[in-house]
Parts: sequence; structure tokens; C-alpha cells
Amino acid sequence: MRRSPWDLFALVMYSVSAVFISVVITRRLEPELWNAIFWIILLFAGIQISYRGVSGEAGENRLYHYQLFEAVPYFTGRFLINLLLLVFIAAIQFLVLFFMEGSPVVDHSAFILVVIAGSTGLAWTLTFTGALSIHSDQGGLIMALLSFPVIIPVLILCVRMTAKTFMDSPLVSYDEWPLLAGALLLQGAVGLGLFNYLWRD
Amino acid sequence: MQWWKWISAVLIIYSVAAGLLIPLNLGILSVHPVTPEIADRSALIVTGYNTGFEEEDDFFLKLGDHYLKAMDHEIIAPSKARVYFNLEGPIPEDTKEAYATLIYSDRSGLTGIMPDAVNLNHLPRGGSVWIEGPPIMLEPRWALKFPYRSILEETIRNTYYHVPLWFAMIAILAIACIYSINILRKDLKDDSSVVAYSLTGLIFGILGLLTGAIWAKFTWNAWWSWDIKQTMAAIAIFIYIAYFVLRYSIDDPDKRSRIASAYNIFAFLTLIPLLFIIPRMQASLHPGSGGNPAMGGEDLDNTMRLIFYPAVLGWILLGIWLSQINYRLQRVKKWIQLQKYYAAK
Repeated sequence: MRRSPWDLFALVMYSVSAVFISVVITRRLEPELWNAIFWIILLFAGIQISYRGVSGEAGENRLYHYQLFEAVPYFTGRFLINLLLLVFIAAIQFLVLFFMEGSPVVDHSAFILVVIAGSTGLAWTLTFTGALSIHSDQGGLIMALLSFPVIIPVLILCVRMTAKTFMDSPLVSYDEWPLLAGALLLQGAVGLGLFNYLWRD
Repeated sequence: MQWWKWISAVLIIYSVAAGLLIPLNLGILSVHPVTPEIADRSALIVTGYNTGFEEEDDFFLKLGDHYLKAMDHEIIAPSKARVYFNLEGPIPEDTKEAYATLIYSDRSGLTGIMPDAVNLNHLPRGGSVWIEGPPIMLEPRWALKFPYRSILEETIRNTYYHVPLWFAMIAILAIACIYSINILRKDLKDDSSVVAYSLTGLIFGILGLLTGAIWAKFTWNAWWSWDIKQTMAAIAIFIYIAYFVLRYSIDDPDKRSRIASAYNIFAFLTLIPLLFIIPRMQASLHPGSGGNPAMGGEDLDNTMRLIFYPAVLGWILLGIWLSQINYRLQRVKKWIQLQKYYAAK
């Protein structure tokens, strides 16, 4: 799990270049497009983060790690790191988008909350599928293929809620909060429970 | 062959045959003009579906609780009639929106209805020639026919194929999930059962999507319209395809069964919000949401229930049957592999 400081820089450049390309191609960003670009690129960055985090686990290291760490704390630790990095990348993306095209966000505190909540959901699912994918031979491809369908409900909720922050509605009018929380809890409980089984490998 | 397989075969043949053969009840396609003139013999041209207009038939206009019987009608064609109403008198006092329902009742009691057919807002309100309460001659009788619903018409038959397929898919995938949980808890080596049930569930899902698309082509005039339920169903199918890709990408069989089972449980539990919760959040044209007719109290009448519930049961049993055959096939393949392995030693 040796990480050089260049890894973080590489991640940041990955998402910044993606944002840059998207903005260059679509000159004027309507709010829906801004929303879509933000979340899609965040998703891809998340996949990268999670995969790089676990790819160091392949091979002989695994048995060593199995004996050292228990499943649940390991999963939680990995999840927290992924979450932290995701929020960091989200902030950078927002800054880049804001710098180049402005931002349609009106309700900033709500937006921050939505990003954090959405990143939690993303990070949780991606940690789980990352752990699943290191066992297969094709690595990154499987990671993306596994994550996309499963992440879609969370992503839809994120996009909807972000769209609401573009208008000036009070926080309490978001009827999707309980849904997101429910979905996260469900997947969270499942992911955590299942991770124990994966851990043995 | 076991008893439940016979039941499954009978139920499916019954539901398919009944679904296709039972005729639709009477319906009214159109009423013209929508805003009739005020006269003591105002004519409305009524076009029916599956109707055979005859002399003894009755036509009524209904506003709230009040009914107005037609004076007379002329038959232009078996499904077209010119109906005369006396529209000079006032309509009832307490009517708010005067869009009257046209009711047609043939002499044997079969009725067809077109709600909000005639615009009577231009008539004065007052004490009334409209009679309160359903007239004596209007007594609907039940017949073995499917209800006529204005946009659905004949496509209502799809209810017996499309919806049972989805119910069966959920049931089969739930069984696959339960097997997965079993494998993980008891640390079993062989996950052929999960594979078999997942494959059957996937096939049912694809069939469900296809029947839905055929229906959509006739009612919404597009095979694919990004309706939320359609999209979610496609995503569900992608999740299970990813399950199979995952299986193919891991070589070690024990590891494969564990990892695949874990993903299966995860996938099924993602299905629940995808298919049930998110579609309810959005209004859509899909029957069953918004104001559209589909499942549930008002939306399935008793005739349809007669065929619908057996169909659901039949398809679930068929799914289990197919999965068991596939399971045995998988086991035989593994056995053959093992034999080859020992023979080569």
C-alpha cells in the first residue's frame, strides 16, 4: 500500500483533464449538462480511486493482510479513505468547473451536503466492488462493469438532488433524502456483511 | 413429471389461450360532436367497438348522479349510431364541470362507457329533467370479456404476459439470492443453483422487456421511450449480465462461487430500490403510475383476475422448472469435467 505523492496528483489530473475536455467540447454548459458532467466524472474518478486503492492487495500480500487485519475495520478504513479522496476530487472539480464555466449552484450549503452524501454512497458501493474485482483476472474492466449498474440508483438520486440545489428551495423540501439514506443503509449493511466472506480470499 | 410441473404447464397454456381468445367488452370509441347544439332533438354520432347497435339498446348521458335517457337512435352501421337527446332542458343545479359521460347499454345488459364525452357547459343550470339515480333499465351484467379501456383497447391482453413475466423474474431472482446466502453461510463449493436461477431470471427479464416494448409500440408508438420503469428494468438486466461476466473472469472455482454469490446478493438488493422505489418517485405513462390503469384495486377487474393470478403462478413454476433443468445440466457438466480430470491422471 505504498503510495507516492504522485498518485494523488495523477488522480487529480485525471479528473481535471476529463472536466476540461468536456467543457471544451460543449461550449456553453446548461445546468443539466453541468450536473451531468460533474457527477459522471466524479464516478469515473471514484472507480479509479477505489481500484488503485485495492490493486496493491493482489498476490502474496493478501494472506499477510488477512492475518493482520480484520474484515470490518479494514473495509471501514478503505471506505473512509475513498470517501475522503472522492470529496477532495469533487471539490477540485467544482473549482475547475466554476473557474471555467461558472456554477449554477444557488444553495451552496445544500450542495455541499448533497456532494458529501452522494460521495458516501458512491464510496461505499465502489469500495465493495473494488474488493470484488481484485480477485478477477481482468481488473479494471470488471471494476467498471460491476460498478455501473449498481451505482445507478445512487447516482440518479445525487443528480436529482443537485438539480434542486440549483434553485433556491429550502433544505427540508428535499423528499429524496430519506430515500438516499435508506438506499445507503441497505447497501451498506449488505456490503459490510458480505465483505467478511470476501476477506477470506 | 412431478405434479407441480403439470400445474405449471396447464396454467400457462390456459393463461396464454384465455389471454388471446377472450373478446373485449363493448367500448365507445368516439362521440361526435363534443359540444352538441342546444335543441330538443340534438344528434350525437357514437362510434362503438365490438358493439352491434340494435333497436332495443339504450343510451344515457350521465352527470354526477343524474341521468338523461336518449329519445331515439338511428343505426348507421353496426358500430355507428346517431343518438338523439333532448338537450333543451337545464342540467342539474349542483353540477360543477359539465362533461357528461355517455353510457351505452345493449339489451342483454352489457354496457360500454365513455367518460367526459360530451361538453354541456353551455347549457343553463336549474331544476332538472335529468333523473337522479341510475335508471331501472341500466343494469350492467357480467360477461366473460375483458374491460375496454380507451387507450389500451386490445393491448390490455399484454397484462397476462408482461406482468407475470416480471413477477416471475423477481421470484426467480429472489430464489437465486436465497441460494447465494446459503452458499456463503454454509461455505458450499457448488454454485450451479445460483447460476441456473440467475440465468432463468435474466431470460424472463429480457422477455418482459420485449413484451413491454411490443406493447409500447402500439400504445406509445415507440419501442423504447426512456420511461423510468423501462430504463430501470434495462439496468437490472445489465446488473445480472455483469454477474455472468464476473463469473467468467475468475478461474479458481471455489473462489468463483464465493465471489459470485456475494455479488448476486448485492445485485438483488440493489434491484429493490431500482425497480420499486425509483419509479414511484416519478410520474410516468407506464400503467400503474400516475392515473393510468394497471394493477391494484381499481385497475384489475374480476375477469382479468381470473386469468392474471393463475398466469403469475404458472410462470413462476415454469421458471423453477427451467432452472432445475439447467441446474442438473451444470452438475452433469462438472461431473464430466471431473471424470476427464481423473482419467487423465
